[in-house]
Parts: sequence; structure tokens; C-alpha cells
Amino acid sequence: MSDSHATETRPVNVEGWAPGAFAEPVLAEEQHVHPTVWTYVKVALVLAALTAFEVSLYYLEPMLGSVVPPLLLLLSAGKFILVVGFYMHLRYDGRLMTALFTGPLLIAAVIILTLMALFLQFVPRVTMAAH
Amino acid sequence: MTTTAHPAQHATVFDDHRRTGLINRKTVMWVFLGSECMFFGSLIATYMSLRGRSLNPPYPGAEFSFDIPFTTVSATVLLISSLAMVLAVAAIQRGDIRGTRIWLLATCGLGMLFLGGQFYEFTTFFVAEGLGIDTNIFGSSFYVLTGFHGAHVTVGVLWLLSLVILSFRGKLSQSSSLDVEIAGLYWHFVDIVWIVIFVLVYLLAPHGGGH
Repeated sequence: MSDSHATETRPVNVEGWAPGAFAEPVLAEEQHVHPTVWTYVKVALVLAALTAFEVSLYYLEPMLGSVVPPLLLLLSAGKFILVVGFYMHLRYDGRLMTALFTGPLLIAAVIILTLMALFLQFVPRVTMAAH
Repeated sequence: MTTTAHPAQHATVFDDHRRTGLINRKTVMWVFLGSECMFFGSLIATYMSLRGRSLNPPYPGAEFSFDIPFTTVSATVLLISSLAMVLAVAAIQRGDIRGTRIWLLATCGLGMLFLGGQFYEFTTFFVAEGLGIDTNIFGSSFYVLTGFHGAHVTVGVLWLLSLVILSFRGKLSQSSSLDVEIAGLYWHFVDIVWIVIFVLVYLLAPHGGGH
């Protein structure tokens, strides 16, 4: 049985395995440059400002009306991305790491929206009495 | 059909097809955090689906309102703890063990402050507002969601404390920076879950149902 992809061979040890075949390789991601401390502080300041803005919107909701909920969700998503991207270093890690996290995250988001729709959370309460 | 591939061929095949080029432990942590997204997603889905469906007060908008200033402080405490955590990771990567220890302790302290705030909030809701876990749908979904988050914060605090103890025993060094980084991933995840809860549960709750 031949493997057409086999282009190189390693010397094998007495156990029949090539040394290093299962070892964690020296990785490109280990060599990447992490953000500086100042970057982390700047992100924290932005996060604090976004939180202050969120709370302001909460108190301004009687004046601003229905624009507030989407804005709050947008700000929350912004904070989420900042923490995941900079503090969790996902911005600097491999794409597979991003996929491993965002895949389930998207499924969770779809489940939340589907269940909310199923329980008529997007239907105004006034018309709900008709159901 | 039998396969009689030479071990050297196995090694080559593994090289070609099984190497992700990623650190295994970190990858496992991201997979775990992905599963945690599903876990908290189900709890949030439950809360959001049952929102406004309680038949008996207290619930937001009826004889109940959240203490937004207090929760804002709690949310800020958790955000600052994330900064402390990332500074601990930066310190260990520089080989600064003393700095790592200080920032880890700061993260633990802020985490415990958050937990204290949650305990105070739960006690207030239970004693002053009469909201128990079995009072109504709101009470059940609220306590389960925020309670599980609090349990995750508790696990995080214990994990970070164990790292501090390891550092005092001289078992934490620049070469083990991945240990701190992985603990940091968990801690930041706990933070982003609160970012979502803060908006969905607290800020999007109906106004004006206060006592």
C-alpha cells in the first residue's frame, strides 16, 4: 500500500515511530508579538467608556425609545470582541482557534434567537392576546 | 482489507495530515470555551424566552427593579479584573514572577469582590424583594443563569489562587507561562459572559417597576 502524499521519511526508533512525530512543534503562534501593556490599558479604558455609555443609554431609554436595545446589543458585542481579540489574544492566534470558539458561539446565538421567536418574544404583547 | 504501512510512512502521514501547528493545551481550552458558549447560550436562551412570562410578581416591571448603579460597579470590577489578569500573563511571559503574583492576587481580589457583590444582590432580592428561586419563572431563570456564572467565577478564583500558591513554592516560571495564559483564557471568558448578561438581563429589563 503506497501513499502518494509521502514525500519525506524520518528515521524511526526501536518502537517503530519517528521521533518527534507526536511532539508539539515549535509554533508560529508562540513566536508572535503580544500587545504591549499600554495596549491592554487602552483597551480597558475603551471598555470602561463603552460600559459608561451603555448605562447612560439605559437611563436615556425613556427619551430615546426603541433605538436603545439595538444600540445596547451593539455596544455589548463591541466589548465582547475587544476582550476576546486583545485580552484572549484571539486576534493574534491561528484561525482554527477562532473557528473553535466562534462556531459554537454562532450556534448558541441561533439557539437563543430561535427560542425567543418560538416563545413569541419578538411579537408585541398587545397582539399576543390574539394567539 | 489489511494495511501494512511502514511506521515511517505513518510518521509522514501524521506530519502531513495531523499536525495543526497549534499548542494542544491551548486548543483544548478553546474547545472547552466553545462548549461553555453552548452552556451559557442555553441558560441565556431560557431566560430570554421566558422573559416577561411570570404570572406573579415580583419580576422586572412589577414590584421589582434591578439596582443598576450597584450592578454597574460589579461589572466594572470584573472588567478591571480582566485587565489585571492580562497583566499577570504579560508579567509571566517577561519572567517577572513577583509581578505575576501581584497581578494574580489583584485578579483574585477583584473576583472575590464581584462574588461578594453577587451575594449581597442575591440576599437583597431574597430578603427584601421576596424573590426566591421558586417564586416565579423570572426567579428561577435569573438565579440559575447568574448563579452558574457566579460558580464559574468561584472556580476561576480558586484556579488563580492555586497559581499564586505554585508561585510561592517556586513552581511557576517563565517556561510555565502557558499555565497562566490558559487560566487567563478561562477568566476572560467569565468576563465576556458577564458583558452579555449585564446587557440582556439588567439593562434590557423593563424600567419603572420599582418598589
